[in-house]
Amino acid sequence: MNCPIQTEETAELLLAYTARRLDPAKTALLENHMNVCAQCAEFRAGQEMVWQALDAWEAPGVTPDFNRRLYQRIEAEAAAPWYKRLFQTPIAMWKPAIPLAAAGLMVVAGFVFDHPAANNQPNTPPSIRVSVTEAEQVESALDDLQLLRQLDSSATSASSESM
Amino acid sequence: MAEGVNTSMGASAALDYDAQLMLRVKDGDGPSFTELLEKHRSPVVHFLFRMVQDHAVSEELAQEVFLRVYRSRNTYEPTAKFTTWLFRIATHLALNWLRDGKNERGQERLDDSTGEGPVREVADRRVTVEQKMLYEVRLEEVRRAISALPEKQRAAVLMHKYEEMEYSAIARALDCSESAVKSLLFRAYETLRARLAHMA
Repeated sequence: MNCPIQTEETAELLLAYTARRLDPAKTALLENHMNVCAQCAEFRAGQEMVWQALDAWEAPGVTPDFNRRLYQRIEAEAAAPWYKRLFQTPIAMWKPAIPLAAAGLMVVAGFVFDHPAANNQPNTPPSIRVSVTEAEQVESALDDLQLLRQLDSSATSASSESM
Repeated sequence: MAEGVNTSMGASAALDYDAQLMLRVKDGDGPSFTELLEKHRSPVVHFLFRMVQDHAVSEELAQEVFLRVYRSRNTYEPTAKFTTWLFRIATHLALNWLRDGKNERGQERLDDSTGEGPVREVADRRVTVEQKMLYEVRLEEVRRAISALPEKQRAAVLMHKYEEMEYSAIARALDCSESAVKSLLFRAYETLRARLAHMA
């Protein structure tokens, strides 16, 4: 029999032995081996000491109001608004929605790329932007002014001729 | 590591009683959740206490574990042993807490020898004061030795020693292979043997 502590894989035999989780046949085999293998006997002694030390470490008891606090939290979650509950939903619940969300995103992206004009705003600042209505008003005013000048000049020439 | 609510663990598991209870919870049976809570509350709190070494934090994390179990009831599928899933959630939360550096206060407390913190039950053993002091010293050494282990090694040892979990279950809880678990345990126990050798 090869010495079990030579490799990590076979050392589990000794770990199982000290944890008393080894079947009787293997236990007998290992005990026979440890009678002649000082290395394994040392391993067993060290591991049993660790086992005893860990056994001595007791965890404190659970506080009596543990369940009450938990049920309070569960009730608070159940009473929370829908949008808060949405974020508390396990990730697994969201999984079916991920392909749909991805498809929706692709449709929106495609629409945006196909209609770039919708996003083409002039680079000029708003303060110097002139609307179409304002330009028409200015043009109309200039036309009126020119008409008045023409009327004025024709009236002047008529009066000079009459004189 | 995948979120605790990920219940699809691959290997098919026999429908243990806990899984049956959880399926009843899925169907809206509240008392089944209470039964699961009563059964697993102490092991989960104890595991978390030994991981984070702070009683208040361990209870807070345990509350989060059971809250996640309850939240996941609708998506629960019994594809693995219930306890494996439960300890996977607990391990995930403990490792996150430790990695987030929230354990500084706990470490300070660990260094503090004034005895502040949870009272450890050593009463009723009819021990002398000297024996009790010796016990406290040894206990402190064990706690320090465990605390000094890398997080995954610590979790593996606690699940192996105190919860008596199989290598396969530990592997699922830690999201690694069985051979990786064996390696973690081998190295962890090797370190503990060296650190605690003087206690023999």
